[in-house]
Amino acid sequence: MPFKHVLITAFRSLRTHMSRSALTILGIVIGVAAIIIVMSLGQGAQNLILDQVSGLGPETIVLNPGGDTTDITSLLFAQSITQDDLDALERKQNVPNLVRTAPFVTIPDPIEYRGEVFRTTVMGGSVEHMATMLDFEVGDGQFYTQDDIDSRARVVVIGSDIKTDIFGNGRAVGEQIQIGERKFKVVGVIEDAGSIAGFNLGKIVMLPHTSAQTYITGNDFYNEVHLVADDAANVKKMAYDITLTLRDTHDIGFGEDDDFQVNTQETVIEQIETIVNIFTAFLIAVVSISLVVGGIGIMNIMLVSVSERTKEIGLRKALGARSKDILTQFLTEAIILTSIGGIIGTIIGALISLGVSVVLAQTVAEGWAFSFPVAGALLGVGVSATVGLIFGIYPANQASKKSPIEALRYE
Amino acid sequence: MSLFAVENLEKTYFGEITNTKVLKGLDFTIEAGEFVSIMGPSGSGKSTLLHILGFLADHTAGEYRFKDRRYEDHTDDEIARIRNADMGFVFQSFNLLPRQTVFENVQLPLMYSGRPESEWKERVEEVVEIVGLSHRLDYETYKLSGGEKQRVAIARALVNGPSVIFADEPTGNLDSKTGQAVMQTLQRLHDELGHTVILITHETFTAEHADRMIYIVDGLVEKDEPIKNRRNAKAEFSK
Repeated sequence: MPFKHVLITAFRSLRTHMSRSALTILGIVIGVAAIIIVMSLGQGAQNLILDQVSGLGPETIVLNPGGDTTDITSLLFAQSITQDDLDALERKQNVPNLVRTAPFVTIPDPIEYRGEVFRTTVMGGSVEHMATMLDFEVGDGQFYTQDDIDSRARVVVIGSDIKTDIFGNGRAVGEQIQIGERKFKVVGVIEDAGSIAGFNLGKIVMLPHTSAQTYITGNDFYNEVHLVADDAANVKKMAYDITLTLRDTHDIGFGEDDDFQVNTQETVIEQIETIVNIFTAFLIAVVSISLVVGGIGIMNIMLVSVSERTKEIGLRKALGARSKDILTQFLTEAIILTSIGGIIGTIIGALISLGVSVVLAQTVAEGWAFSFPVAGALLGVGVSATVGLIFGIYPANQASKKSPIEALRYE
Repeated sequence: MSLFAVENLEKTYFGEITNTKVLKGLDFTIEAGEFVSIMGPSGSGKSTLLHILGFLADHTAGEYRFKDRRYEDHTDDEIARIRNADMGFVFQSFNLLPRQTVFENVQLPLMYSGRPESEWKERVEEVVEIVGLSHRLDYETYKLSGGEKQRVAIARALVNGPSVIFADEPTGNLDSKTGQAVMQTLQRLHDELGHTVILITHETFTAEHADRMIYIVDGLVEKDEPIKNRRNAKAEFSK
């Protein structure tokens, strides 16, 4: 029988039992919709995180002290990167692609104003570097300059939220706040820019790293250094140069582990992608169960359909249909049924994901963008067609084995 | 070479408690171009015989040859092919697909025939015209009268140009006048178009429209003789 007529017959038979067909594919619809939602939201979350991470820019390499990444205390208190290292890295013959370095010192101390203590993120470093990298500007006053850094000036720039916490509606520029044992003068307030690349700019307090080392930590160690390459394409090579240089300055012998970490944005992105993918795969495995349940529903209804159409099967056989023709007919019906379920599920899943994305973007996750998982859609429709094939085989085989006379006598 | 040849043909239905032997050793041949009625009281085994001759069921002993080839020498696909191309069936209860049109019902055997689709339409129109239903081509068959339904079934049996038409109590569900019209069509197929027709009936009146009658009682051939005064359905219909 020409396949065109197999299809026509299949659609006609499904249309005859419209509401039953619709209820039958519900399980498949829900299963595929769930897969699409999980994949779409997973991809959305991944894009959002990657967006924040890559806020540092692809040409930025992050250098941290400490070698053993499994030991969090060793990382927090690692002291291996100093100004000498920076000087070595800045020598052209060592790291030729390096155009800019920006060291940071993290300060565990809270800040105080008139005896009141405020807990927030205090870090020493170049505020201008941060402003360029994260694209924010000064709201009031001005940023401290390279001169302030070189002269170890006792100046700070604060975020807009912490400014409101301390000074309310009053002006902060010109006031003195205390960090550790020393007082620092507020020279600027960062504009209200929300959160960029994981930094909550409203809560940040920044001062020159030189001042932080001199007046607060009392040593010359750095907790993090940003190293910017001349071109994103040279990042891999530069990471290699940095590693070689630091192994040399730190006297690390052959076979010994690094006492620092060089992370390109690429490695960070890879790590995040791995985590999100594992999580998504797990969720897909869970929702796939509903596809199996849906498939069993299909098998049930197909068996009912075979039994209802026993007489028709007998007639077709009497008129010359081979067992293979009957098998193809019922299998095609099952596959069409589940494929329609897959397509409807994909559309519903995409619509729900779109709705959730809009709500997320307006509430908790600014910058969340809807992304339609094309691979997920293909997978969803493909998997549902396969479910139809697998769960349709048994009923179709039952149909094809009917003897024409038994079937014609059937009432 | 006979079209059909049966020798000592037996059919037993095997039940869980008892086995029922329906055909107990039949012998006869049917030549191409004959119009034979197989007659007998209900339960005599005539329908079972038709199913065996029509490749719809197998026998349990003896031998059945169609075109000089034994039944058991055919593969399943060859059997399907014979049902499709060599045999046309007309059943007592019509067995049409009710929600499909006359055209679609008659087209059904063509779909399994392997003939090019371009020939289908012409062929369907041709046989529907033979049974006089050209004006009903697009009607869904549940809307037709009993006589019309049986004529659709005859058209469907004819569409692949089979060598044999089997008619199993074709007038059983029809009033006498409509029944006569159906018999007239069958006689025309034989007399004018040269088809072999095998008619199953329990009514002597209907059986007498054929040229030869095989009378079966209790699974055995009791009589096998030519009909001397064959009834003419056309003449009786116009009475």
